Amino acid sequence: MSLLAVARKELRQLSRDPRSLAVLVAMPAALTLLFGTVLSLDVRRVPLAVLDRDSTAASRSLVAAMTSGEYFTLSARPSSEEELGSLLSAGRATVAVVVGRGFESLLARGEHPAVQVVVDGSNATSAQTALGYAEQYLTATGARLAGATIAPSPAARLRVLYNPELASDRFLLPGLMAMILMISATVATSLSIVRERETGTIEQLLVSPLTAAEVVLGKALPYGALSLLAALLVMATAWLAFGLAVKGSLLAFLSLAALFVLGAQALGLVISSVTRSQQVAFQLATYATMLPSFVLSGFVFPLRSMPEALQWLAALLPARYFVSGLRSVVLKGAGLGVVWPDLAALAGFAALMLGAAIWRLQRGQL
Amino acid sequence: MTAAPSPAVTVEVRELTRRFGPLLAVDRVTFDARRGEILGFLGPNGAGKSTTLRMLCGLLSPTSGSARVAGADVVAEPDEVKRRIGYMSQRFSLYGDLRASDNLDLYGALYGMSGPELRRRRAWAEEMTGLPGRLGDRVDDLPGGFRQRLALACALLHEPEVVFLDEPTGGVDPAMRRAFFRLIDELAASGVTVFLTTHFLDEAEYCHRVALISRGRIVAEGTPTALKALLGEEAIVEVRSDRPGAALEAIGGEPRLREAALFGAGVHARAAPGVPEGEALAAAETALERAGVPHSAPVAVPPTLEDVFLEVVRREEGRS
Repeated sequence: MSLLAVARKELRQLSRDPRSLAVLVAMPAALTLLFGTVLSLDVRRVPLAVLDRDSTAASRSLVAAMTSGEYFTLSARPSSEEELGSLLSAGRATVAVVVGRGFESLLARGEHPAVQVVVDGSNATSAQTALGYAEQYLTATGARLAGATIAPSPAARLRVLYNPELASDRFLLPGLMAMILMISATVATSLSIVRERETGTIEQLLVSPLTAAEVVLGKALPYGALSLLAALLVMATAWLAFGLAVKGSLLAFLSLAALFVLGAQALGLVISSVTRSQQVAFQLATYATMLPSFVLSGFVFPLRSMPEALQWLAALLPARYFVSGLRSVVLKGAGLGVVWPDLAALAGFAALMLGAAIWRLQRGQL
Repeated sequence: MTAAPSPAVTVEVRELTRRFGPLLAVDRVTFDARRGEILGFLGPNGAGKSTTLRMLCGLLSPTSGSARVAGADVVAEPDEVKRRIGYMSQRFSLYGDLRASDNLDLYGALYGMSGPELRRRRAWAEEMTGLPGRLGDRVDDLPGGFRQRLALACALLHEPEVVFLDEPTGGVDPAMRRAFFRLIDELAASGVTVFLTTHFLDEAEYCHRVALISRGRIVAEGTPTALKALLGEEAIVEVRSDRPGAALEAIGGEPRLREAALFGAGVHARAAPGVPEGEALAAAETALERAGVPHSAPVAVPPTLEDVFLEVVRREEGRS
């Protein structure tokens, strides 16, 4: 079959080009490892300054509790408000706690002693998170020291599902995987037709009895298989390095990944069929994938809080369905029965892009 | 196969036209080519040669007109056409990063060849390319002449009835060009129709029949000899000079010579009607001496297709 002849040729060419092969198969896993390590909205080892005016067993116990975990590191013990202020402005402390006189005695009487928490708000996200941690410590310590007489506020009784530590890397990794795979798969094929146009071989293929569909599928399938392998390596990396195991159906994961990379590859072929040089194809492929799959996939920014027009735009992007499907399967343990709408959307995108690439090639766009 | 009284027409082109927006790239081109014939399309770049060829290969659809190639209609049955033709582009489009044998395998598979048939044709290709034992080499590592023959072998692997060669010897040296045309001659002798485009005159001299193309139209057609006869009896005078522009000016002012034109590093001019060869040579010598232009001794040369081309285009322009 002619389609297989083209696929075999593509694989032979790739096997003689170890660099491209490495970029296609191994690079996504390496990037996942690299960015997964630094990519976190969590706050750890926040420098904490404590001004303890009470100096009692209770106040020391509060400070010990806050600094025993991995969230806060005691960085200074200022003796005055002024000193504390300069520590914050110099960035040597991000959070400061001021325990007033009478902390222990107020607690003993069953009253609510005020503890002042000062946060450097210049990084709003991490300030918010750090403040949240600090409040939790205060509530927990207060309850512990006062015995059962003070009930913790009902608001603290939240139960967090799926991601009990609310670790942001769990939440972010699927998006990161989608973005990396999208870029690598699209770029790989975006170069393939335009490279053949530069060398003139595409013409030689098109004067043969080969149909445009056979050329397009003969290119998409081998690249798709390699990208699927890359997706498996990415998932394995996420599991080994970040403990993110596929909780749900492996078949659902494979189907999502296969349809997603096929769509990305088909997009690459469309780009390849409208450009004239490898350089332009590369740039177009990068721009067409990087920002949309970062901003509009729900990777970091929730889609529901976006303007409606952007939500509609996001609905056209495969990354959005891959990210939501992946979160369902990997974090929530879902199977094919749950993620089929995502699968259908991914299949639709792949079919549309393959059709567009075939149509462009058929019209003899050389 | 039974011997036909006159060789069958394998390429039949009628009023073939192609527009690109306002540009008329090919204008009502009509011609036939027969079994075993080498037909050349000669003309400058942009004259419409490649556009015509691409329409005949099914790569481009005509705006109007019709063409049948190897018995199939290029508009109605492009797939059938593609199965029956071979095509080689000026860039010898092979996969440079693959082995020579990988390229042969690919083209064999594209035309549905396998088993003993493929083995037989591969053996033929190895013999024809003339460098047996190097089929395992990467194409990019092979010399130009070998790449050219390999590209031809890929185009001929499936034994097509008609072969299209687009500027087939661009970038190879004259010795290789001669060797290449020996192969083309053998191919035609075996009954294949060869259709080639070229802007090299010496390439056109190898053709059985040549069509001169200018601005999308066939302006003259015939055997190279018949085309040269179009020029008439008058001698052609050639002069070489380091200052061809000045030489052209000097000769252009001489009434016993006409149609002076730059020709490589020299000037060609034709004797005016009724002026014998000796007198024309002497007239050129006198004109150049008077103008003080350094030059070689004027000689009479046989007409080339370029002289014909210039003459035909001039007549066409005079008419319009």
